Amino acid sequence: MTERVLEGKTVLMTGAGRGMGRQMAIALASAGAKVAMIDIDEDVLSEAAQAAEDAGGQGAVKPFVCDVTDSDRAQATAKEIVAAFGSLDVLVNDAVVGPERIPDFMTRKSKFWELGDDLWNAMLRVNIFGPQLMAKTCAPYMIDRGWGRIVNVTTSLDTMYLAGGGAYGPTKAALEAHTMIMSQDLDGTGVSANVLVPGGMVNTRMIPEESGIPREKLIQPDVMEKPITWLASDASDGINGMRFIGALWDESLPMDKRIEQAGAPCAWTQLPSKAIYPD
Amino acid sequence: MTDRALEGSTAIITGAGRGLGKAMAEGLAAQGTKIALIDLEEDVLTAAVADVETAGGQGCALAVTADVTDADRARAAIDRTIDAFGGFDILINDAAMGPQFFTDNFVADTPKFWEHDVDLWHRVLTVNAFGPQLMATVAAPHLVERGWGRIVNVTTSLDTMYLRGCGAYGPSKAALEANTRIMAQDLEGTGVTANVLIPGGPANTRMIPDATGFDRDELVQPEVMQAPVCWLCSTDADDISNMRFIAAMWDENLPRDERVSAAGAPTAWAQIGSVARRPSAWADADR
Repeated sequence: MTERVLEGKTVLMTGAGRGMGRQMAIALASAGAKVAMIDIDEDVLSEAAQAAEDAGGQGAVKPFVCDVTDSDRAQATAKEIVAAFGSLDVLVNDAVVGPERIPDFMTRKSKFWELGDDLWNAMLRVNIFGPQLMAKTCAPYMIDRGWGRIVNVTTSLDTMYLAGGGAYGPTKAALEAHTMIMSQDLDGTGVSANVLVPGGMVNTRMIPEESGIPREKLIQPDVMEKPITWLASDASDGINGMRFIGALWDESLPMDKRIEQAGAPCAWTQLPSKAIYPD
Repeated sequence: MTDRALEGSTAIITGAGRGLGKAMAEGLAAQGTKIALIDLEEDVLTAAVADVETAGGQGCALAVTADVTDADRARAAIDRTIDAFGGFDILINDAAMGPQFFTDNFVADTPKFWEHDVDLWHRVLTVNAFGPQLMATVAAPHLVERGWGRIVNVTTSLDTMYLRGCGAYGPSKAALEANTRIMAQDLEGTGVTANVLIPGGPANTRMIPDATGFDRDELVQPEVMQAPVCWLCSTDADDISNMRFIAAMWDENLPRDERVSAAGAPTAWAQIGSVARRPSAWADADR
């Protein structure tokens, strides 16, 4: 990518230390965005921030060690970002406690009653409460300026009920539904909320080596680069309440075909089951 | 159903103090099920036990005050049920914090997601999604050991899961819906089933405050839950797992199979299909 289409925009990326978050941060920085990279793991974050700065140029990146479920820290971090970069235009909620925390999750498939309550709750807190907290913190900055993006990374619709993954799937179902709520609340503000998923198992730490799957057969994290750059840009104005699949995003197609191939409405709005309301 | 077809069974119902939980308790008790009613509020619970005993007879109901998000209290509640009734077969996860905690009128006055109190949002998520997981975690080994059992989770209509203005209510129910599908898969072959039962629209409970302006008689009445929950807890539903049922569409006049297909569907959004790309090297790719 040589065009710096994101010049003048500031992105807050959570879970930016590794995997898809790191990859997206690098891509956004190289497209000209200022990127505030958030992670709880300082070591991986420093390395990732360096890589993003190499791609985006001196001063393009600022790392923040921050727990996305800590309200005070989140607010202070947002303030610092605005002070450093002048605005906060795009929030990408990528931070997650993944199923790899469950011992042998891909080879053994623990039953739901065998999981520890603490891990289940940690997933609930980080994967769904975290994005809500970050969105609540960032949305007012975006609404004030009349432009902004919230991009939530959920998962494939059928992974939301993948057995053996503990709360991982259910928390992503909740975030998917919540993105639909965000998009309705943001309607008319110039800020949008959409979902971006890779489209299947990705070559990150979430799929441990012991799964025995050759790494090259997995979806590579770089499938997120082009769709996230587009979603963060002015080119996606008017796109709200949608979900996009990174692996199906094809830049060689004309824009409307590209959206049709990789996009769908958020959540499960296609299904006919509707609540019965009194007349 | 006038005979006591469920005689010999025992159910634990969370959120049994009022609303849908209490209606289900009365319905099951009338069929002969012994009921442990779990709720946070002791006064409410005492009144509910009296009503359930009116429906099912003296001694059929036990009041257990407990918070479903507290692991020690959840375990103690289940131990008390076993002490009182000698075991249990059925867990109904009905306890929930509804939209009324975020707005008096989710029809006209819908607070935005950035206006919600952070702690309340997290609390609702925990009660509605973790609470059922915790209760099911404690209950499942007992049910699996007996080789027969039921887990019934009360979620909400699929489009209510993304209804704005209601804070974490919808998303928490989406999580429980997905988790029910996981529970059903994990329980396959054990004799224990996991299903979802929902009323089918706003019900005449405290979750729908008067400020919404709905005519309360036109809301779905809590009693619609009774016939389908009694059926789900009967041996006639032994082969029914991983489904969601809409109580308002449950018609006892229809033959069994027609009744099931009129009110039932797979849990979650499984009809949209399997879309995640998984390498064929993964043995379980097609599950």
